[in-house]
Amino acid sequence: MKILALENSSGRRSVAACDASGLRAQSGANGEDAPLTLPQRVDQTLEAAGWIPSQVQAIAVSLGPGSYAGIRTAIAFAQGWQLVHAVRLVGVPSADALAAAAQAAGRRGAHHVLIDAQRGEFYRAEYELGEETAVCLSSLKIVSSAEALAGLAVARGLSPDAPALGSACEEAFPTAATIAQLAARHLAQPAATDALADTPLEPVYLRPVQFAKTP
Amino acid sequence: MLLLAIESSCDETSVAVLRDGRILSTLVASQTALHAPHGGVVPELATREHLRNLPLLVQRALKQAGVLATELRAVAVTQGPGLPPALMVGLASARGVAMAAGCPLYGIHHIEAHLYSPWICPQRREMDWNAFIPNLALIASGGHTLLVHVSGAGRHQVLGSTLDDAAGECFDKMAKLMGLGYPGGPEIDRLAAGGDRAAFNFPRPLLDRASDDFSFSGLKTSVRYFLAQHPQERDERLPDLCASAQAAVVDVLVAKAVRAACRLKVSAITASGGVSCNRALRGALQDACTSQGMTLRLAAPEYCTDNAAMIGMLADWKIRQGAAPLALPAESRPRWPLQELAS
Repeated sequence: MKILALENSSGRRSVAACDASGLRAQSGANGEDAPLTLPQRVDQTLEAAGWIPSQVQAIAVSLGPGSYAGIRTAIAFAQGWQLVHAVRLVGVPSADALAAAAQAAGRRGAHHVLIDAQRGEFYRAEYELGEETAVCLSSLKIVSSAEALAGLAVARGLSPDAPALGSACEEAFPTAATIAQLAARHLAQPAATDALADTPLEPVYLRPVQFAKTP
Repeated sequence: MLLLAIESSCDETSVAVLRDGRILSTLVASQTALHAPHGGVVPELATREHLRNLPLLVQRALKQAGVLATELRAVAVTQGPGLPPALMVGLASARGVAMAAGCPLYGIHHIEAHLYSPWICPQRREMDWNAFIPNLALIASGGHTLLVHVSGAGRHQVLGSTLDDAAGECFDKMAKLMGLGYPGGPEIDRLAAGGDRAAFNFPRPLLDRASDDFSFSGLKTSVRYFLAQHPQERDERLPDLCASAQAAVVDVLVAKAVRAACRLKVSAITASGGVSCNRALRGALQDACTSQGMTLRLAAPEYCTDNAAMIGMLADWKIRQGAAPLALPAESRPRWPLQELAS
């Protein structure tokens, strides 16, 4: 299956094209200097993969947590695309992508994924990285900075915001290539047998928001 | 040419499908009820709603039009001005459709589209270009209040705008002070119908100045002070209060529009934007134009408020004039000045 993956949740954005043979093309993910818009990355990636739009069969989108602006842009773009070509849409939590990439890189054991939630808090998910997969032990929740740091005493940390968390935490960014791999795994399974969501897609909204209109 | 238009600049999600400049379908998902408990538009809520609504609305609009997305030859979207996250969702969605369909994407200025919405013929569902004449355009809504000289199709110059609150914003704030719900304009309009516009004398801001600019924050403050000093009037004479406050807004809008039209020697005035649905404003503009021997073009109510049909209409015209599509790096422009398009 030809999957176009959009990672727009972190400060290092990327787009990837993957099929049964693996990664065909990727734009971004290396932190290059010139920032490109999502459509530019999609255009680059499709051209590099040698695909035309109608050949894409699924679009995978990272749902964060992360930049609401980036995630919403990717979701809206994917939904727009789906209106023309009946592609499958798959949402992938960014924390799952970070854990999966670390597992694929050979890391093993307990790891915490920590993503800055602003206001002195972090989104935290706990994973056990095994020989074959990264198993989520505790799904995303918001913890204080102190709790996030305390957790690093018992597990290794993975985070796009590692500099704020000290040496026990390794800097890591979700990549579109990993998002595509997780989506491919999801799509290969019988319906509704794993945790990933098909449409409708929404960013990860964890913090309860009290909306207030400025007087 | 089959064109899809998307509008998401504020709290209305709207989609239209046009063929050769004629509306095949037009839909608006209003978020008024969602924002009412907050007394105004909450951008975060509006954005979440646009993200949910857009795919459903596009699907329905295409179905109503009896066309397939793969048949589209162009996509148009409101590029600005408006709420940044709301515009961003609309633009990304439109870009997704355009790239997948392999057709160009056009970015349209929301206010420029309002300039031409009075020329949409509701019966024929297309622009009445044959009737178009140079005019003075009044755009009055919750976010904008402007006077614009439209000297020809695609040629316009901004004469003045509000220095503080927009007219619709003033209506909302006055309604809140009076204990009325949101949106305030329609509530005041409804209650004012049974009131005396001369019951209370509220100021007509900047009416004595030669400038074409507006200012409505002082009027709102005047209503606040009045109610603080006469709290019983809110309970006992609410219709009179509404009619008098509404009259202050209407008098300023009409007087400044007519004065500018006379000075520019144009023979027509047009009005669009949500506030131009106000019955007192429509009536006063009609009376003023009749007495001045001017033509009045009021946007039909469905094209007064934010809608994708007007975005599509203007896009269709611009495409035929040779407008360039948006390049891939293009982003939304929340503070896009209309003057930038002036010619």
